[in-house]
Amino acid sequence: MRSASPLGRRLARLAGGAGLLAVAGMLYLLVRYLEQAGPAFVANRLLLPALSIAIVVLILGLAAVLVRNLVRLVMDRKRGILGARLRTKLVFFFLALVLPSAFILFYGSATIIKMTVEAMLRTPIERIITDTQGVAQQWTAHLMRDCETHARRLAANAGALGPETLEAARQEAELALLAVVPANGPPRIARDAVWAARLAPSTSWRELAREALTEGRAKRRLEQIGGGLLAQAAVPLPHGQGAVVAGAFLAPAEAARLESIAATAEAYRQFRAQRRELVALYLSLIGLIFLVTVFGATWVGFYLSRRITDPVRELAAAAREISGGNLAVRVRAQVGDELGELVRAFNEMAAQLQESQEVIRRSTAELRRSMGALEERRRYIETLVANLSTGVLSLDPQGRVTTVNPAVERILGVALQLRDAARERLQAAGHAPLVAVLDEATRSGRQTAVRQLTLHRGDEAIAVAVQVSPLRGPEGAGLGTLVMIEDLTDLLRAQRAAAWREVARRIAHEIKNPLTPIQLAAQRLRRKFRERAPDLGEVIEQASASIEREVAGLKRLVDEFSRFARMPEVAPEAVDFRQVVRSVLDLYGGLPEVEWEVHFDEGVGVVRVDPEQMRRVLINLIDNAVRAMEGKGRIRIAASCPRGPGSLRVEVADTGPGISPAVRAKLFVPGFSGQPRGGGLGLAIVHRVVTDHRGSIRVEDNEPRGAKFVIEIPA
Amino acid sequence: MGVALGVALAAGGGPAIGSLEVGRSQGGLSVRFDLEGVWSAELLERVQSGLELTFRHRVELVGKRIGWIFPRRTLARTVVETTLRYDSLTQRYEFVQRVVARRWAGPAEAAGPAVRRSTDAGDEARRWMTRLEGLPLPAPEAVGASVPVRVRIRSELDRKLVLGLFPWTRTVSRETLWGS
Repeated sequence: MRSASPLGRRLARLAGGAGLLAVAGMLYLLVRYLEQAGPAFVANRLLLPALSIAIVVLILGLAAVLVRNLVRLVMDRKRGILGARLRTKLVFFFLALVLPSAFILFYGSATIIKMTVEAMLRTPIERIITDTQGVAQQWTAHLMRDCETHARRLAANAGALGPETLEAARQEAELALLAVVPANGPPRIARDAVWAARLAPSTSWRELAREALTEGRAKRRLEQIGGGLLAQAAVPLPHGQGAVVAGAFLAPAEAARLESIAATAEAYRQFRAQRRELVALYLSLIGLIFLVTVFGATWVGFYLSRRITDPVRELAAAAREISGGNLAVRVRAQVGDELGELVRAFNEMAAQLQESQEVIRRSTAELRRSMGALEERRRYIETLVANLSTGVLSLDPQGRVTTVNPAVERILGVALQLRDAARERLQAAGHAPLVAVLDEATRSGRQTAVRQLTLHRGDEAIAVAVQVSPLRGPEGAGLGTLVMIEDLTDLLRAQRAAAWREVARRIAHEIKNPLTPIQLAAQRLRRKFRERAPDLGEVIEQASASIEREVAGLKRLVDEFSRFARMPEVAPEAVDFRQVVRSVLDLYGGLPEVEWEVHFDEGVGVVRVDPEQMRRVLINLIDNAVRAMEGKGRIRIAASCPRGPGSLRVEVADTGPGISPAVRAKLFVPGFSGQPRGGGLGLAIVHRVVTDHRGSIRVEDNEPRGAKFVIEIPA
Repeated sequence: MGVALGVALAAGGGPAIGSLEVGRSQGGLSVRFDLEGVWSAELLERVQSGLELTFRHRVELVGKRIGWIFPRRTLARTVVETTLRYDSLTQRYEFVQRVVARRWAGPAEAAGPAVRRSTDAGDEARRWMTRLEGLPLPAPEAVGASVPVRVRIRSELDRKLVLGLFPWTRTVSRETLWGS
């Protein structure tokens, strides 16, 4: 809908206001005129038609305005223009408010006017006026009859009457005028009545005389002269000789009373004769006021409704603009009431939104730059992680894979995908020890678990170092688990090679050590024999004893290595592990200064292990513990089945000096010994037996002191 | 029409113009007609209340239309106004008849002198108001009429109210037949 410009609307308002003022002014002037003019205003031939035309024009104007605005309202409502409903309600409210009251006022006023007019006509005033005027007319008629009587009396001898005689007769009859008008010739007038004859209209008494002469009968007439009244009568003379005219004069004071009576009677009769027009005129006036009121109410209704709805419509349009993203829009409606407050608040809100949008735009740009940097950083880290030789695996709290790098598959031989259930996939791939570490870390919650495990990638056994750390958010919330897996196989292989070199060196050294005494003993024997020394026998005895001793040492050394080399394949069978432990402890009954503590959980019972090998494992560990404590202290042996029946966890703890981290790294390497007299094969044998059972072994610090070996074997 | 103009019949019912006669007088035309059915008790009451009663009569000499496209030509027009007023003090009727406009082909001529009469007889006063005599029009040849002409009368009488609110002036009209 096209709306008028502000200037156009202002001009229209001014024109409407000026029109209403003009109509109101016209009504005011009309009422003033009616007040001054009295009932005679009805005689004005232009007034009533002008009022009628004004009413018709106003009716047409009102109808046009109403139809135009109502059509606009209907169109606006059909178009869904905001405010149309409110405007319709307001306009109809005003019409409903004004129309009935105005109509009742109009109808009531009209009824009252009609009743008043009719009541005035029914009152005794008409009879009073009629009677009063009758008396006045009888009085003037009496005067004219007297004049006629005097005129008839003189008419008998009028031919002999001269001015003096006429004057005497006039005086005798107390007339104002007495004259004889001959058919031919100048009239004869009583001497002192000339003034009356002159005052009377020149044609008056002469015409009256001629009328009487013409008609042959007496004629009477009342004339206004000099502020008074002249009652006249003319009587024809016999034989058509002329006529006698007699007149009596009523003084102005008396004449004024008669005139007043006549004027009052005229006014009343005019009122009665014009009562319909009078009522019509009053009704026209009231109708005009009614129409002006309705017109004004309608106009005010439209004006007020527009004053309310225009800002609302502008607000809605601006809100739509803002919702469309145009925050620069402002409402320009200038209103001073609460709507003005609303408009100002809306504009302030739009300004703040615009400012906020600018801030957001700048922040978004900054954020985009930061996101770009972060993305670049993320790609860098992803590349870094992907190229790490260490396997990196992160899991969500439900154990699903959230990050995995290629090293994991390379190390574990398991192609984990994002959102895979890591535990099930690893378990299915035979990496139970790793699953056990994950479970342990999950149970412990906050601690980082570091384990060295032997896993099997197909038929290949691999050694890995596993570090499992809980992932925490900024507020400490658990985000999952980070698993870092490092393939130690090559490293350990290298370490093992180095260890074997060390073993070879030590073996060589151990072999070389006895060789020297043997060589010296042999050389001493040869020298004593050449010297034929008397103590040859003693020397032979001593030398052979020394050689035997050293050879025995060599033999022990060789036997030990033979045993390590001859370790058989594990042959698991169902055995009661408690019996295995007890049979080992029976061997150490002769250590009085060692305090033993043995603990079996309820579930520990029959497990599938090689009993001889496991006995060897326990003996080696207990031997190490006794040696570390130098035969004095406390040894605790505990067995449990943390992962259900068939699984086994064995702890062997002592209260010795403990094992330093540097020693721990090489503890299970063959030939390495943390003790001066150790052969360096015991723990290597232990490690081999455990890994042959697909288990794991690790060393921890014992509380409050000492070392603790933990063996875990899956079911 | 005593001259050559026949009189058309008036429409029946209500006020009407009757006895329309057109005669020659002093080189021109003299029109006479009567107003019939005009004088009523209501009108008499208005007159006797002292209100002035005025009738306006428009007397025209019109020429016949040539073809269908041209309007009828008004060759001459005389507008006469008659006024009657009753003086309740002297109990006399004052009658005035004057020509308020006169136009024929040429510049308008000044209105003639008013005719004033008075009487105390109501019948005579009524006759003065309802009988118009000697209303002047120029002769057709004097205004150059070369086509048939007729005399048309239109009288504006008293005022009535339509729907009790809107004033309306009663009018009657009549015209002669076409003549020369």
